[in-house]
Amino acid sequence: MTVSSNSDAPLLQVNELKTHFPIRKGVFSRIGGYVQAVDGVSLTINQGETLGLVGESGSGKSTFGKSVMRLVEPTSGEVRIDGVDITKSSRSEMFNHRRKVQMVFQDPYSSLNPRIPVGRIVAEAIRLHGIASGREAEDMVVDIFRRVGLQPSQTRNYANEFSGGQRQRIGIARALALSPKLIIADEPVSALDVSVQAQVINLFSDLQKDLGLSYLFIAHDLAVVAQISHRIAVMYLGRIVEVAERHELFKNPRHPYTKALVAAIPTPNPKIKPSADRALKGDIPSPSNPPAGCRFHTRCPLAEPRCKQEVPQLKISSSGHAVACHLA
Amino acid sequence: MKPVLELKNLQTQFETRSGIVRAVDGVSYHVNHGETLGVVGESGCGKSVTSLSVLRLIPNPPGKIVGGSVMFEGEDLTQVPDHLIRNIRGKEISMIFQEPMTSLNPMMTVGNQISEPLIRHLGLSKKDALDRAREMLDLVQIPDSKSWLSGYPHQMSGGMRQRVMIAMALACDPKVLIADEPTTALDVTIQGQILILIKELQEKLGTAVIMITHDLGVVAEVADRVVVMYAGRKVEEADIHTLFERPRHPYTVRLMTAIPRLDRIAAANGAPERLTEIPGTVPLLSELRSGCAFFDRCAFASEQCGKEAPVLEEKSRGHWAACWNEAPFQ
Ligand SMILES: Nc1ncnc2c1ncn2[C@@H]1O[C@H](COP(=O)(O)OP(=O)(O)OP(=O)(O)O)[C@@H](O)[C@H]1O
Ligand SMILES: Nc1ncnc2c1ncn2[C@@H]1O[C@H](COP(=O)(O)OP(=O)(O)OP(=O)(O)O)[C@@H](O)[C@H]1O
Ligand code: SF4
Ligand SMILES: [Mg+2]
Ligand SMILES: [Mg+2]
Repeated sequence: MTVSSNSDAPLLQVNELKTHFPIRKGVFSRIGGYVQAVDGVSLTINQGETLGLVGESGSGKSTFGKSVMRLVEPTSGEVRIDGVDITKSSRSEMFNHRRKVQMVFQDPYSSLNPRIPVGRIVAEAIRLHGIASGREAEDMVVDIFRRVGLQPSQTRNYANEFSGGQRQRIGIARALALSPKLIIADEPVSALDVSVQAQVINLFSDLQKDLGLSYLFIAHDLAVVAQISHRIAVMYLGRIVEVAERHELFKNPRHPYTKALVAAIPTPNPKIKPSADRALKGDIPSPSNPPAGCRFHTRCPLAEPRCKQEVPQLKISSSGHAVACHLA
Repeated sequence: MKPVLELKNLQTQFETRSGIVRAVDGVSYHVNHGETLGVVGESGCGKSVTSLSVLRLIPNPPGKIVGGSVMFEGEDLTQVPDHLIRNIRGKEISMIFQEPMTSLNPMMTVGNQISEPLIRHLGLSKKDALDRAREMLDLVQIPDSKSWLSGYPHQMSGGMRQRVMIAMALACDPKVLIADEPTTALDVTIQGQILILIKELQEKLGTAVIMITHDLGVVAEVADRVVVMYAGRKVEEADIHTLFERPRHPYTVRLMTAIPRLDRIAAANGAPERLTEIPGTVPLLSELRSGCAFFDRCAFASEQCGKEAPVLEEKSRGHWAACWNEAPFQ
């Protein structure tokens, strides 16, 4: 089943995607089981839209993002970009795909080569993809640097000479170099100071307005995701439990996990005191041994006997709000 | 009320290749019995080094407390002999660190780690200490506490380890608990559990808590009073309500509008308001500067700000700020 807002054919359409990692045990590296990091996820992203993806640590957000890039191999399912299923693409087709979809990572430092001037890092991406070369490529780099709020002279500096926020701008510049349609941003502001976070979040918004980009914006901070996303998908242990428009999700969260998540965010307003019962009890189960039935049932305050046995399907209402819960 | 712990003009420096880093540059704050003091500020502004200095946990070299005092029960902790500070650590004043694995011993069972300070500081027998350790694990809601006594930290989830640290920190009923970003590495639903736990224990035991965090939401939730630090100094201090209603330092003012606000986004009908940016980045603490450290990022700066460092002034009762301007904002 597919969850989409009502517009033209989506830019990205993911159907029943599964990415499982083998767990190897013992001297003969026998496969002792699988981590079901992503286990049957269907999502769409339209042109010019931002889909936010939130969920606890280990819920499979990064694995989902990397699977869409085929940086990890999906186990099954489809990933359609402009209608083409890239899980079956050849190497050369993938090269084309990478131009359309680019990734920005959490730690901008480890993803930038410290021995090459940052301008050349961006220029090389342009040359590699045969977009431009020589002088023309250099001019493009200067343009892109301006666009992300860096000085043209800074192209000559090395990554370690930049602050965290500036490095993240360089990471974004490198992604933009190929004029992608979709950027997958995996926790792009989590490592930044609050005062610098705002600069980078605003940059993402401005670029979207100017270039019509689409984003898959992955973060565990719901407030950050809310600031930038049109729609938000909530992931729990490898599955999507709820998808809705931003306002709908906050005004009318329907999955017990989403409700707990929304209630758990501390509000920067000392007059609002949280209720003592807002915290979920219990720890997050392991994705290599997820609970049967609804994966949330071990922590759910509403769980009924059938929640332990039957897997709730993601059901979509006419307004486009989708929930996977027997009681919602 | 007499403070339990009081820092006066504390100065801690590091000698590095690029010069002397003034990590803590004359910081004063105090915390009262049963009170929670929040300490906020950007990465690298000296929050952790300040609190590590209290317990003399600064690696020397390269670090050194070069001035000021830390008053606790009539003694200056910067001056007392080593064996005395060892008796205070973990017993009178204890700490929860950001990354639990750095302070949990991976080779030692959970039970032995919690009992060790009880045997050392309180002179309990091994058996009594283990009983108490189990009580503490129950208190921090570790399920199946008895079998976890013989378990190892690496077998636990991040949230459980954090709770074991809290159990250890509270085992000797300390008078002061310093919690350095105790929930930053955790998911929000687990964070909620931990904050509630600290609050409950504080109410029960009357512990004074210093809560270090960069999350204004966490501060609003738990703190009674807040200290805002910037570049090694305290730039503002006020009770929690005053700070959020009428911040006086331009850095604090900007910080309040630079963060995405879920409450406002949810209440608004259209797209969220654009975030206010604070241009530029924090200054290097190794550079000598004459004026205000916030000068080149400040929208309210005047000529004087670039020349003279502002002094901390009491703007209204209990509300301190270090800014030359009569903040015309709000
Ligand atoms: N290459 C890999 N091999 C084996 N297991 C993996 C691999 N990558 C991820 N996993 C496992 O898959 C699960 C999902 O991990 P993933 O990194 O996608 O989570 P996440 O939602 O991005 O979490 P976080 O918020 O901590 O970044 C985890 O249990 C993780 O340990
Ligand atoms: N061992 C050290 N050697 C040199 N400089 C150090 C050392 N430890 C800390 N510093 C410097 O002291 C300053 C204050 O660091 P501190 O760890 O107190 O920051 P913080 O406010 O706790 O930041 P964060 O929010 O990132 O934890 C920083 O500029 C840091 O680089
Ligand atoms: S299906 Fe059951 S266990 Fe799962 S969230 Fe809904 S009520 Fe809770
Ligand atoms: Mg991740
Ligand atoms: Mg710190």
